[in-house]
Amino acid sequence: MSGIVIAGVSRIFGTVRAVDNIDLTVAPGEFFTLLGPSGCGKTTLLRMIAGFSELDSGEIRFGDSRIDKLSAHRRDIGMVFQNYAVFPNLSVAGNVAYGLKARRVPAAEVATRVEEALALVQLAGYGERLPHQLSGGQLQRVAIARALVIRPQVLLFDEPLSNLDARLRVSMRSEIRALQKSLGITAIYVTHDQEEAMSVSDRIALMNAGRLEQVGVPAEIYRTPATRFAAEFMGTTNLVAAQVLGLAAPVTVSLRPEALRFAEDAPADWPRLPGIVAAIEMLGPITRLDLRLANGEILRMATLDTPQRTVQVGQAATLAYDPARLTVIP
Amino acid sequence: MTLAFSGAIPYRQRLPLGIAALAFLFLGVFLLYPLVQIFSASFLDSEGTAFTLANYTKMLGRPFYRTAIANTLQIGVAATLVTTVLAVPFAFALARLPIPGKSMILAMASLPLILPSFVSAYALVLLLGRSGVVTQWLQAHGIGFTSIYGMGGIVTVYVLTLYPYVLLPTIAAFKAVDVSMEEAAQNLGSSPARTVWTVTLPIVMPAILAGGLLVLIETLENFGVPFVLAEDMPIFSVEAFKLFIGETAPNPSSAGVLGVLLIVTTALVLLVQRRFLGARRFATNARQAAPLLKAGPGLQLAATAYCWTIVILALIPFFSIVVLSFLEFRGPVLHLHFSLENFGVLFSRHLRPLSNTLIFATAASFCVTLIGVPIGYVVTRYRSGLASLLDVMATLPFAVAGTVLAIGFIVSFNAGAIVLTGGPLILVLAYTVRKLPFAVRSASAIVHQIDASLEEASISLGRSPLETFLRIVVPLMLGGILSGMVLSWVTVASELSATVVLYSGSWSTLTVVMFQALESGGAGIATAAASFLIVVSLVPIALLYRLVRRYELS
Amino acid sequence: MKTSRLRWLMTLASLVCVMGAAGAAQAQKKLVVYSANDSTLNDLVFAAFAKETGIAVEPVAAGSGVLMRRLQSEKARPQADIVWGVSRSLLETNKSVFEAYASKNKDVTPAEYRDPNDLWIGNNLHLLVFLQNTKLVPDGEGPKSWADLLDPKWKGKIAFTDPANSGSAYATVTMLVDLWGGGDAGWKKVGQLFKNMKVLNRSSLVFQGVGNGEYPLGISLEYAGPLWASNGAPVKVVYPSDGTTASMEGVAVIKGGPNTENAKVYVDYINRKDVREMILKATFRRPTRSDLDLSKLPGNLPPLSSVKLLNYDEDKWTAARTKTMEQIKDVLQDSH
Repeated sequence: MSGIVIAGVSRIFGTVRAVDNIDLTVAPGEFFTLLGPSGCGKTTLLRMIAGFSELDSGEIRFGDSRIDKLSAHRRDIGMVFQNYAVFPNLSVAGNVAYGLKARRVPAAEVATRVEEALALVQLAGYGERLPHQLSGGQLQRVAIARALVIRPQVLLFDEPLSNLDARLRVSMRSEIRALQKSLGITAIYVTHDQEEAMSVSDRIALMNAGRLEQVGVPAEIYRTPATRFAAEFMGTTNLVAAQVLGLAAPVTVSLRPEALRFAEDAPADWPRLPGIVAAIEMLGPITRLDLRLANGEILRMATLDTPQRTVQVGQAATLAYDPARLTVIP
Repeated sequence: MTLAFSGAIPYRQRLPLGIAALAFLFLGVFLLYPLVQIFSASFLDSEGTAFTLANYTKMLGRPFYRTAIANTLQIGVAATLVTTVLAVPFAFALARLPIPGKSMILAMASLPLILPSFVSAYALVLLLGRSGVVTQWLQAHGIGFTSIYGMGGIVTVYVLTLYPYVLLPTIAAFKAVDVSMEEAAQNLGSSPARTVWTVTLPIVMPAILAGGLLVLIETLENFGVPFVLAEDMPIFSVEAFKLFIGETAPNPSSAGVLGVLLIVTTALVLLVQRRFLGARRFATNARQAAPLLKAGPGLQLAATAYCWTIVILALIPFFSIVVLSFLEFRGPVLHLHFSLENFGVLFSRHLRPLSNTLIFATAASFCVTLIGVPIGYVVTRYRSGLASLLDVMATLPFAVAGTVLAIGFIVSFNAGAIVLTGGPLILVLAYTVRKLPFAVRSASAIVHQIDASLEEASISLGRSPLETFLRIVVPLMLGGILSGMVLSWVTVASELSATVVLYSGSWSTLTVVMFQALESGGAGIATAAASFLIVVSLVPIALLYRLVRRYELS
Repeated sequence: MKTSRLRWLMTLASLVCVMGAAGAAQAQKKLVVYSANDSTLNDLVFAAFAKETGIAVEPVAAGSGVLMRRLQSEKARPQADIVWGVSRSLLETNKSVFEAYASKNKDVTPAEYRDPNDLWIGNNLHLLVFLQNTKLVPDGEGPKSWADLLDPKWKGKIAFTDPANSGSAYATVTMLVDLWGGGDAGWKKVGQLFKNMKVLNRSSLVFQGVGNGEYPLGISLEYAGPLWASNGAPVKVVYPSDGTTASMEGVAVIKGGPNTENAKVYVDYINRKDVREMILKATFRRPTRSDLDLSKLPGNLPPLSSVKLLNYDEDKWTAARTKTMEQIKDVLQDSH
């Protein structure tokens, strides 16, 4: 098991800097996520690690050995693709055994390791099936087993869950995380879904326009976004212009909806904000509420479902916020 | 490969560059070099020393050749349009509607290509010529049909012999359409007919275009059909043939002009097509054939009747050839008595050409596949200027008349570094070059439909790009590879124009026997040979389709 | 399982190839003949020749245009020993690739039908004639002379071969230009004739067309008439009353060919009196040697002395071929 070092890596397509001078270090055994909107360069960076895209500058190391000049098939990587990429001409067992045979593992060992790997992804007994007989979720399990069974130095996930339905996505992501932790393989995971990123990752690198916006553990990125982009991309937030005492220029502060409460539930020292309820959205456990302030700005608030309270659109209401949860965006 | 070399080229590009280098080498030696030998005369003045375009302006300035070009284009465009309009519904019906006897229809649909076009033309004249059997019957019944000669007749013959070029790739494409797209369209309230028109048809358009292109180029290049049916209407390929090897006044520089024009036209059409295809790429991941559509009995009956009508109409020359082969020929004159004499003569005198044809067709179709499939893969997967160039070069042989290539071969490989004349290898090589476009096109069409992430998955699992190509890509392409092989086998077996120039001694083929027999009026042997060729070809075709079907079902 | 089947197919294919190649290697006295004659004549002569001399003929049969192109291309390393069945003008223009050999039958062949330096010798003569399908045009109602062919009633009914692809058709046109006054006057009348003709691409299409009833009339070669008539087709030969000419075909030894000695044997054989008789009986080719009694042979070929022959300057028209062909194409274009 080894960590990954990405140093000064760039990739330029024409005039577009798809990956712009990225430096990253992933610790051994870490579950590291590249997060960002489509076109931010996260997939290109992943494909550079995998060996499917060339570097224009910089280098990539697994542990101490530099791999960016190595042919993709010699990098000892397990990769899981968005569209599964399960070989349609091979059985499930044939798919899982594929990488082992490439490594000239003895046949008897191949058989046991394939069985173990299938059991690990809860597909024991599916070895003889052909891919077209499986569901999407099962196909992705095959792909994961195929990537794990070769015990690679590094696991790469390229939006592995985006072709699955919502419910399956949620259960699969915790399975993936559990598997990775139990095997201890360093993993890099690419997604555009911030909730998915936060749920699986040890650390997240948030990317935008080929650059790193912020790197940190999920809570850190969520709670103290370093940039306006980070604040907006990581879930809903209120961005409010404010004047900080002692500073001349106005700044923007981020206030998460859950840091707001109805005035009557809030501690007395929280600042109050009166306004008119503009919209209410009942999501089950959570209710979202938009409050229009006197200056016309909309403030978004979220609260756990409280059946006793009756609030209606058009009513006047006063909210209070936790001043400790104000984050100043530079 | 030395270390220094492998270090200089990014590893990801080594396989495609390696394939491209070998392909360019092969095409350079066996296509470009012979063609330059032949065509350079068209760019030289009458002394043969200075460069000039005078030959071009002179040829294009003559009304006779301008008429020939106009006639040829008119026929080519008409034949391509009619073929496409007829073959696309046919392909859709076979791919997506419940129709009885599909394998049979498929095998029979590949057959029109096996009959050398000069034999088809002979049979058609006997049936539909001025004193043809059918013509006289029609006239006796007051139907004012005069004869098959002329533009209409030529277009009809092209449509009925060349429709497999559009049919076969389009069937494959219809089957590979991602059903979810159709479902999505129908969920949005689109009627099934509208869905086919607005969603399915655009997706299969690359395959239709590829097939239509083959038809167009073939009509421009073919001379067996107009040779007989055009009578005195000037046709481009026929005039080029006569300028090249006419008995009285062969004129290499004028002939070269026509040859170069044909090649330039083809290259342009190809580049336009490539540009169009480049803009729209679609790939499907799961190799699950799209399900059959539900069809009412009326539609099903109509579709069945439609398919069978085309197949049977196209096979009319076949039936008549088979019938003729069992009739008595006294010298060139046909007598309406049953006789096995034709076959007796064929088997007693022409066994060797018979086995030669089988050997050549088999050897050439394997060579074509081995060279063409990697090329088809590279030109589809890698979209660079080099790939475009390779694509055009590998398709050019289609635009080169067999006679021209053959003369180029003789000039180039009779002495010097590579000596091939006098043996069988020169024929196999000429066939391989001529039929390369079949393998390249059909391989390319399939690669369009294989998701690139499958290859990346294999590589990341530790297989080199070459191993990945052999273990993942080739098996997935198998259906397309095999149908390409069938096309090349069948068309090699019926090749005449290059064979007649290149064959020597004991390496004659069945088409040469047919041609000579027809020339000397011994039509009996020609029809017997053609019948035999039909029967012999049916076997590998049926075998391959069974293989493909089994593969697709597994 | 799929791959094993494929492998099996491949093995089978390579086996077939090897067997084929093995069958080819055999040592025997042989002769490579490039023949522009049709296969009936080829088969007949090659079989008889092999039987008598023990020399096996490896024929390459093709149009004479193809053959001459091959010979010229192979000059550096000739593949053929003999070229046979090509016209006098092609023999004349390709003399550079021939080797001189004085045939044993030289003396019975008139001087006009052989090269003064023995580079080639003529074998047979084609008189340029009309073929008439007597089912479509009853005997006696057909044209008698070239002038008759100009009658508008024959419009679209006369099959002819494109002179670009047939030496005898080229001779026909140029002979008629001379017959009809030469120069512009001659070309004008030839232009009229073209308006009546269907110009086909190959000479076999003409006699097949007349024999099968596609065209009532055809301008063709003499032998085709008796060949079709003797096999039961309603075909008759008309010798034009205003005269015609004889188009010669001959044989030559290729310089530097692999089996030159056998080639010389062939040149002697092919003009021998008994061989010419055999050929005439089966295929109605009129011999160049003048000592055969045609009245005792099948085909009703009239003796040359009874046919009106025009004084045709073949060498002049051979020299002017390129320009004349262009003129013919223009006439053809105007005739539509």
